[in-house]
Amino acid sequence: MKRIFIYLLASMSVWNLSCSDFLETDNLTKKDSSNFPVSPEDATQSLYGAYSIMLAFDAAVHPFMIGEILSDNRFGGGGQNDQIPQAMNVFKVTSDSQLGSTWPTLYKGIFRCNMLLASLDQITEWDSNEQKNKILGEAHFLRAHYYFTMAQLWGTVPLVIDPTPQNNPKATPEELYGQIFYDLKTAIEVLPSVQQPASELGRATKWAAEALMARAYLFYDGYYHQNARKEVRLVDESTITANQVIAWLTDCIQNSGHQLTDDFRNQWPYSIDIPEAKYPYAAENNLSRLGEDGANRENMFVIRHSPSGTYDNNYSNQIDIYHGLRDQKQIPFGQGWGFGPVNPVLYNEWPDHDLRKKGSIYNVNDETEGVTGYEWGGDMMWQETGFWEKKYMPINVEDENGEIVNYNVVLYNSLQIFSVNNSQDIVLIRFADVLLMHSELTKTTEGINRVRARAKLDPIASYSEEALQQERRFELAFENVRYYDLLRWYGKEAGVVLKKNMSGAKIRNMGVETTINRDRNNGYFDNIDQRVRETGGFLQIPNDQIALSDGVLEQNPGWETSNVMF
Amino acid sequence: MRATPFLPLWARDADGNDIPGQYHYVIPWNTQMPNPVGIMDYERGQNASKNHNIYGNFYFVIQPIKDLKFRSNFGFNASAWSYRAYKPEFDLGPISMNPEDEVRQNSGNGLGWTFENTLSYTFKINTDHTFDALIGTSAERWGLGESMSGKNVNSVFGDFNHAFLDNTALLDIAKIELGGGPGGRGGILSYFGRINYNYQEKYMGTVVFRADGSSNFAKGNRWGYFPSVSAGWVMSNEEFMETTREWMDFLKLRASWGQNGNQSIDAFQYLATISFKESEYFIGAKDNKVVGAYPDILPNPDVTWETSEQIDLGVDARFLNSRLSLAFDWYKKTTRDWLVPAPILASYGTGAPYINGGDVVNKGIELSLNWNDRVEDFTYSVTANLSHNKNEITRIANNEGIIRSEVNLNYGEEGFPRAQVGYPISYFWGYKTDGIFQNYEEIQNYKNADGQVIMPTAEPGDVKFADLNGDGVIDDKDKTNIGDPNPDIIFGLNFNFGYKGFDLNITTNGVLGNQIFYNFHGNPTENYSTEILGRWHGEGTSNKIPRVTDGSHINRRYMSDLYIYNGDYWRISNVTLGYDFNRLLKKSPFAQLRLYVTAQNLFTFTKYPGMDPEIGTSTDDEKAGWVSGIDVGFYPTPRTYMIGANIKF
Repeated sequence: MKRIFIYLLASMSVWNLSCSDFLETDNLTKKDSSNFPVSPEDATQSLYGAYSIMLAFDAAVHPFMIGEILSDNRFGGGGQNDQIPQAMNVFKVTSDSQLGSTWPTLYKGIFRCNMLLASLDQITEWDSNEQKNKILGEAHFLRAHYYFTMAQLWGTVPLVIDPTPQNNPKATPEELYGQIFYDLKTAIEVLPSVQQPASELGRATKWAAEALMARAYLFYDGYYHQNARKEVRLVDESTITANQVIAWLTDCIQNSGHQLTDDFRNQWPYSIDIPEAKYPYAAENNLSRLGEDGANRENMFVIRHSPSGTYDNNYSNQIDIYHGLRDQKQIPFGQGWGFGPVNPVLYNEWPDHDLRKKGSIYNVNDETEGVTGYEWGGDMMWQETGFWEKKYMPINVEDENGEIVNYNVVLYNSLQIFSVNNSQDIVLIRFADVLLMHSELTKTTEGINRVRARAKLDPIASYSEEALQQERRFELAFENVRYYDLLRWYGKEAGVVLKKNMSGAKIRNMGVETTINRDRNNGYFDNIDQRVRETGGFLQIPNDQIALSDGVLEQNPGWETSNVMF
Repeated sequence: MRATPFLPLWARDADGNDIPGQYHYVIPWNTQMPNPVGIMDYERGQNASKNHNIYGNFYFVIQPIKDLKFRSNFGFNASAWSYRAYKPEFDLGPISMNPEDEVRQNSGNGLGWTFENTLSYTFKINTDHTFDALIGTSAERWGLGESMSGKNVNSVFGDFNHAFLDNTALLDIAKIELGGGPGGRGGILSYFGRINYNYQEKYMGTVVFRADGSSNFAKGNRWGYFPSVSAGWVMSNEEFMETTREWMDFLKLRASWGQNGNQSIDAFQYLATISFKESEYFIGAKDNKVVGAYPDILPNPDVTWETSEQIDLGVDARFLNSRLSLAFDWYKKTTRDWLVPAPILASYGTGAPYINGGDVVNKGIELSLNWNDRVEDFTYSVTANLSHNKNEITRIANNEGIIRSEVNLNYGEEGFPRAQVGYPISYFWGYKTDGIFQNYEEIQNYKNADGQVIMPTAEPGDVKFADLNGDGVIDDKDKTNIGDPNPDIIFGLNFNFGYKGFDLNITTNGVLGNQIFYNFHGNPTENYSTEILGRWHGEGTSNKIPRVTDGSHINRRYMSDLYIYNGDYWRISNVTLGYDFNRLLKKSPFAQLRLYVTAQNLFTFTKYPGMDPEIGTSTDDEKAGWVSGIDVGFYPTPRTYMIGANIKF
């Protein structure tokens, strides 16, 4: 008996004591940084992780939405309680951290680029140098894109270029742009000089990098150096001159394979040409949407959305929904929340013979549209002008049962839920912008006239700033370009233009006619120019981040007090 | 879930009569609030779950030598579950619709076990000194199961009875969900030892030592060491206490000091895990999905045990033939290395790990008094207990000494309950108010010392917020401590009566000194309590409740002391009257045949205006488990009447 007991005891204790790896656990559902990335496939997957951030923004504070609401082309809109866009429209906020989701989302994108760039050397077995350079170039491009987006929203932000936790103060404009230009220059130099095949739509290219470089250069040089076309210094101490930017644009124009589409309107979903489409304006003008599978050679860098959107994922285009007609749906313009109603002044100042006018703006009172049944004041609609933009709208067709459905339901079998079935890509840069930037930098008329010819307008004889500004205003309306153009042409005095163009606009609030100046009795519109001077045209840094930084990060000028509340 | 009081339950026909069974569609001017009963029925009402659990425990004890016992115990828990749900096609409103019916099936199993071995020995030295020693080890593993889930659309039969995945028709990749994964595996290994010492039943002491290792921490940080000691002195057994034995039957003084640990956080916080979730993009063809990868957490390789250290001094006494008994404790519990998710800057770019983020101190007393006696056939007893606890955070491991919760109420600002050094956990940080503006003159006259008008855009009927730092603007710097959800006193008072087979028990409990935040109505289109009838609607009509505005107006959006109420209450939580019929039977096969009636939550004495002062908090953020005291309109505790029987053979 004693022996059995001793053996038992001994075996129990030995078992217990020998299990030093009893507490080791394997992670069965995740890899970790010790075994990832190790192969080129891993690197590509990390790159996609960085791209996926493009879908992660909340629509109301999406960079594409913000820039539009800040411009003189739009009012806030939405319903009576949708104060976020209404406040943004007049440089106010409704909370201490209004952009509290935009800021972290952008830093997540930056972190993923930093992580990928830092770990590229862990991978030793590349198929070729080109394969590595492609990933390297795209990661640099994405990082520059995310930082430039932050620079447009907030002026300057803390610069973090490696994947370690850092609490940095805001960089200076020179430091921030020095990094942005360096990343773009690297992308231009290492990405292949080939036309993008359709299988890679959505990925950054050398041409997109050249275009973004010009855009960033024009903004930096315009806002900070009053368009002096100065040389800029990069983080590696090299420099870039205006002529170099021009050379890249010329390279892009000549070698990218990008072209203007034949008809301006065929870029936008309302031009869809399927049997179910029933939009008189599109039919009369023989429009035929080019689609997003490679036939449109004008798009250079887009946010790819998918027709498989549901409530549980972020695949669908929410910008379209936010712009849709409030509380009503028609053919072709679909239902949404009514954000960003168009300023009547833009419609009135746009020459009628310019086909882009009707190709960009829907006037509810225009019978020639062939669209009827518009109802004012849907669901407490606020700041309703009767003008809506057409480029980023949900577009409906008529299915075989005579029901009004979004075209995605017919084309892609999307869910029949209007709030998640838009798949339109959001175009961040297109070729027309490249041509116009080339004209602006070289002060020649080639670029402008190509764009005008496409719009079936007569060429201009000689270059003028006024003609260039007007062309940009009309060609690129509603594409998140206008506000930043105003900032770079006018600096802190951009508010004077906003005030001049928006003041006095006639609106209806919940169906009741009034003017924008009397909206909410606040007199906010009368102060827009002052607000732009106070803030420099930039926005509030989320205060929760400022608090977490324990004094290192400082709020932007013009946003420090509580008189910024709407 | 919110409901608008204007929406009828049933749809109506042309004559205005209800059509039962057909839920009413949203009303045209409030399309964001669908029919809650319809939503509940369609989205949550048609499902079934089965759970099976088996617990087993096997042990043996052998005693090879007298007083030396070896005990081995193996316990396990195996579980299996399955769940089936059906969501029909429906359209209750523009944001509440489902175009295709859905079938879901989940199932899984779980397994966990513990294995404990102990060896104990009792021995005496010189007859008076008794020792009882024990050493042992324990190993535990959990999460050894798997689960699977699937969802598809377009059921052939179209109802819940036939809601199985085999009965769904299409196989459209975009509409199928498929998942499966392991249970969250982990383990604990422990070694412990204990010695009890007893001298003549007068002096006693215990020493315990344990070492625990957890799989949640990285190698090198896995083990925590937790000793404790305690001593007791039965003073009433001493000779010098002879004189008191007439009225004091028992008096024991006790003291203890000990540590134990907490390791319950998510696994793998010490690694930079790579996630493949929610990082899809579309490259190439329109719907060509690619999956991205990214590090989803900043690793914290140093994360380790949270240790609680407690000192306790106490007295147990019984008087008057054990009719009166008393127990009193004073304690101080220090929690060091509190496991919290780190509040990190967004520029870090990814998720926050758990850190050992601070220290918390809880100090207090507990007192319990009981009187029981009998008068012939009538027995009665009264028990009162009371505890007072003071809670304070003494350290937080980040730059500013604050952890903000991410609780976001009602358009409101975040960071409202906070954990901050020098304050109780989850104290309310908000604005102080100073009445309501009655007219424009008051607004213009509300200035700071420099003559700056503090709230120039206010309207009569708006809340006057206090500018505590006098800088002329109302902002974060004017926020302060406006309430504490931790009660000062928790008490209970129970009565027991017995008379010839009848028994009556009354149990009551309550708290004093806590505050509750109560503001769950946001919009003029939602229900308010009758309190709103006293709102400001003209000069002089109210100095407390502002005018009705929509929920995003600062009157409602700013977290202020207007919405902080005292949560004191005394609740009669249970009254039970029973009678044992066994007494009436001469020869009964029953040991007990008792019939009883019970009322639960019979009455609550409170001034709190919400539905129930005994509330919890709901927050979507599982990492903010330390938040309390926020009333978001939970369904209150009902009053329940029950009748039952106890039958013992």
